Amino acid sequence: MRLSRALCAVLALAIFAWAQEDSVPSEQSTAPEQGCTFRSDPAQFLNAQGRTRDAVHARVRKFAEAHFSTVEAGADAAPIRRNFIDDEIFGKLDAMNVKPAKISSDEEFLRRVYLDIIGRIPSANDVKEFVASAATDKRSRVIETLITAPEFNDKWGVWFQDLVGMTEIPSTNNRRPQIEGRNAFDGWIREQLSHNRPMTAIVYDTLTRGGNNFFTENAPANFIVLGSAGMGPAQDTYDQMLVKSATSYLGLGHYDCLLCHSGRNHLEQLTVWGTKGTRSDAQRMAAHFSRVRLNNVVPGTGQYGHALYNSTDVVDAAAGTYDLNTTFGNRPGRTPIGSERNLTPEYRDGTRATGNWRAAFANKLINDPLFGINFANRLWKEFFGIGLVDPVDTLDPDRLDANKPPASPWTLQATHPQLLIKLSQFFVENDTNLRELIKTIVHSSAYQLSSRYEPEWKVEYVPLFARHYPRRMMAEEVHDAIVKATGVMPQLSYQLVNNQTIPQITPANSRPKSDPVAWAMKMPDATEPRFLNGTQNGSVVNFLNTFLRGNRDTARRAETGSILQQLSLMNDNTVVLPKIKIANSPYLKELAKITDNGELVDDLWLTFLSRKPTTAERSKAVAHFTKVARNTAIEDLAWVAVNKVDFLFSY
Amino acid sequence: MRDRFGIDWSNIKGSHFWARPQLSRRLFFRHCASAVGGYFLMPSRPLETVAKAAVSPIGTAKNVIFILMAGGPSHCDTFDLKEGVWTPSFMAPTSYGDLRWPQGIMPLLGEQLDHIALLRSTKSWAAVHELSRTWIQIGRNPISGLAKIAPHIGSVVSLELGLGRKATLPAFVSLNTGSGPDQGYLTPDHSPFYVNPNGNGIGNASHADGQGVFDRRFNLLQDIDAENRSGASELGGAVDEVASFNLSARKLMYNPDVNRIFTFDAAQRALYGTTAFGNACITARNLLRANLGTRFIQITMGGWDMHQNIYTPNAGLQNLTRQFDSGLAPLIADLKTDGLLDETLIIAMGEFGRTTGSPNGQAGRDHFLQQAVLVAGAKIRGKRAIGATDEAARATSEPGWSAERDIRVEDVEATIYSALGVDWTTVRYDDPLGRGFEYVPTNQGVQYAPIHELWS
Repeated sequence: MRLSRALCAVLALAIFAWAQEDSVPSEQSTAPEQGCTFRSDPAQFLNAQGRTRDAVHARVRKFAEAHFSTVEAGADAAPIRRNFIDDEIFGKLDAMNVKPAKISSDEEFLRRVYLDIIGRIPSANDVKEFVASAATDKRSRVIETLITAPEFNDKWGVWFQDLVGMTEIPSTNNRRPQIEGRNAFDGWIREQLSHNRPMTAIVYDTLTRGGNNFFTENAPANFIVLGSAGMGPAQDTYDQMLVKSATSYLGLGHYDCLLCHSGRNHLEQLTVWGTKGTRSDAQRMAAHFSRVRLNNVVPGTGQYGHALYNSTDVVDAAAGTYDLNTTFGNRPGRTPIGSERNLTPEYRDGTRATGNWRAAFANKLINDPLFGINFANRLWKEFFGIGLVDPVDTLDPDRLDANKPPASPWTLQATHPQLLIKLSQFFVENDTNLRELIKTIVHSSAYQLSSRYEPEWKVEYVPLFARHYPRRMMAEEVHDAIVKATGVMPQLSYQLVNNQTIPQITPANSRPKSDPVAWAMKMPDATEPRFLNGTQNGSVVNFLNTFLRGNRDTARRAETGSILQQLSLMNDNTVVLPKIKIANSPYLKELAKITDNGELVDDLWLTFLSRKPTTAERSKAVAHFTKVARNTAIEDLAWVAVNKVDFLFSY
Repeated sequence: MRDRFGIDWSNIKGSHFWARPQLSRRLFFRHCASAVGGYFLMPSRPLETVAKAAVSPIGTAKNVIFILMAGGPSHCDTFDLKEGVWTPSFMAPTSYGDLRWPQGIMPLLGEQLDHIALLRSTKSWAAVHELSRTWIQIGRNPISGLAKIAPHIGSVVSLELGLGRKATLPAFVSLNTGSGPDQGYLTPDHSPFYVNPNGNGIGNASHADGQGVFDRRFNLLQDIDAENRSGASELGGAVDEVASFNLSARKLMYNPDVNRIFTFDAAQRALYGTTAFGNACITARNLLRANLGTRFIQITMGGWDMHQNIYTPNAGLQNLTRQFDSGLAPLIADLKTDGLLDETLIIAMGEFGRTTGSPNGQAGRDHFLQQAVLVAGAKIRGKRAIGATDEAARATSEPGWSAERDIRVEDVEATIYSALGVDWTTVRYDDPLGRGFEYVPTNQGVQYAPIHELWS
């Protein structure tokens, strides 16, 4: 392996050098480009998918302990096939002779579907009523309730902003959304979701809108502002706009590679489509943005204190092309191709742009077959823990069509190729409506499988989705679960204007701030809430960042544990400890009125953990009442509930 | 003149602004030829094998203290002092051997110059705060493809030298930092452990309701959650991540060894200047003394972004250098006394330098690429500068090291790895992009290199 890799590399360089000699009479580009350290190694690539599976497998193993004898999975019979998802998932399981897990219990299902759709845990009453209900369609009904709940807009607003990386000051940018722009975008996306607008319309707006990015009516233009690339020529910015759009909306992350170098000799082990791609193909895609101008708005005098200081005007110039004339910046120099010095836009299917180039691009993009596939795949990952194609930003258009499989040794990219196409078709046929797609996914028996698996579990089963994969709660979900369970409502506010648009003498506590809300999922950015109970306070931000919500910039949202998380759950004196005091918590106050200690423990478990205690848990908890004063016992048990392993999970 | 990588830098066009150094085509073909002829059995690219052939890390250090002077300190007023009519008398420029040093604003560090070298031919890539600050912490361009998954340098050190969960304390501790680049694609064991030390212990490592209450609750938790934490599952005895992190967290609480590190009184604080930076320096010293697993300590000290009134007495520069001086100097002295200085590499730098010559219209200095870096410890030879700048500290006039070009942060990164005995040309193949993760990036085939002149 080592030898062959060396030979490949040498050959690649030799071919590269030979091509340079012939075709480029310039001393511009010489060796492989900066930052790109990819080298051809099939074993490594094939391992990548294996690694993803191993990661999910490890998570399942780690979570295995968090299973409870009371949460019995449902009926033993084969799962009912409810829709095309089930046909594909169970069809493949049958063909491979692998038994699926049982259907989840009511308690397991309810907590899962609440967290997955609205990002909140159910209340004790929600659980009790749901479990007690004899209605055969009770799962459909609760799905319908959740999908129309206002909290839906918060959870999926945060999801969309994670997708595009919306933050006030991205580190790689020259022009930034700033607090005003990100707030405008945040309000806008939540509103779009509440109006149930199609994803095509939402995406179209982000690609085409202009004007000053601080104004709420121009909110979607902040997506374009994110495309600004620091320390380089304008072409770097056009490139970044394409990378952002293609990665987020089409799952085509490889444009980031192609904008430095053609696919040949670089991407052979990663993508069939990308290998054929040339740098100029990618640049012609980026050329759609070559008339976008991001103008710095600096009011003439007294910079500080002006309402538009630091804002950006997004405008379309009447002329301009993607010029091949750069010698510095973040990507290798751009040099003429023969006599061609100025590239004009051409979509990846060969269509040349007419009219407004950005609008032409947006029209092509929302009708691109990859648009639906990308969102179907990303949504699948949100609900099943692993994409049908994973990583989700590596779609290979030449390996997605089940009717046209790629030449050996390549295989189709998705674990369930037909399913991915059908999901995409369903999404497109239903007006690219996020709620319809989510409903179809969570209605399926495949989604409703238990995360408990009775026969021996094998790592090979991971891509078959034979069980549900538990996930850690998002940082916001952890915070909001504690708020919801205890009923202690913090007053969280985010800042409304950036520090340069207000007079510098303004004391921090007096800076304009939003009306207080109790829920972390309502925060517009990972820098918020800056204010707690009306004064500047970073402790909630620290808590949320400890649970790895990422910063939509240098750190991605992550689903891993840490020592700091455990320290926070045990000792945080803002988010945790004050909330589990009977004196502060409306819920615990009510709870203390229950005279039977066993019933009290049941209610506490239902409230925090959405399930009844196991026999052992219940007897140990009840026994605690004999050791300490009653109220002390209640507070101790509330602390235990927050710190139990399963509190942190949706399973 | 060829350097030890066999590259003749005289044919390489200068690194104007952020443009890359470029090899001439003839030179490039020479490398290809040498690769085909002589190195084809080596397990990677020819240019890399050229570099690899010369890898021999210094290995004097076991620990790193990386001081991030956020905002970008004025190099021409500090580590690359240039005097002019604007220089206030309180700065008291003084010669220490061949070194000019602003004795008036950093008197205590002046006494430690025997242990200090200054990299004066250093140049930042970008004059944008967030971009450049991320750049120096991950050692590569944040806009490059690999940056999406790149770990902090401290996380790589944790991976290389950390003891994992066997250690009481994480290998990478970040003081007064709060947030920033994290472990990237590496496992969470290597994430920065953020502490804002104030002498009263680690945040969240004590229980507001008291230790007695905590112990009772913790024992109750272990009892009630036993069936979830026993490791007995249908999948075999997998180690439960939550339970394991929970026990690690418990190890930090009410632990006298840990308390000794993070607890110190007003008298101690006074010895280090009674500032947040001083507290971080005390903590760094205590972390190294305790030797409980921490190898890489970042201290972030902000406020260097002085666009206005840089020379106002007791404010601006003088205020900040006083904090810096009164924290770092006793740290160096104490580590020396403890015998820890020789095995600890200390680096202090900002994300870039500041404009030079006469101050701007607001009596301040603006963002500028030329900068200077302070290096101490790890048996480097001190009391000297490496590289020199022109009259006004605007540009490098003498690189002062074998690469014969500006020092870049990637070179500083390579220096950290080399000092720790880590092969800075390491390429890992476990990255999620499937493209190979180089500890130190290459630049059009150029491997950045450690500044081994520090030790010569």
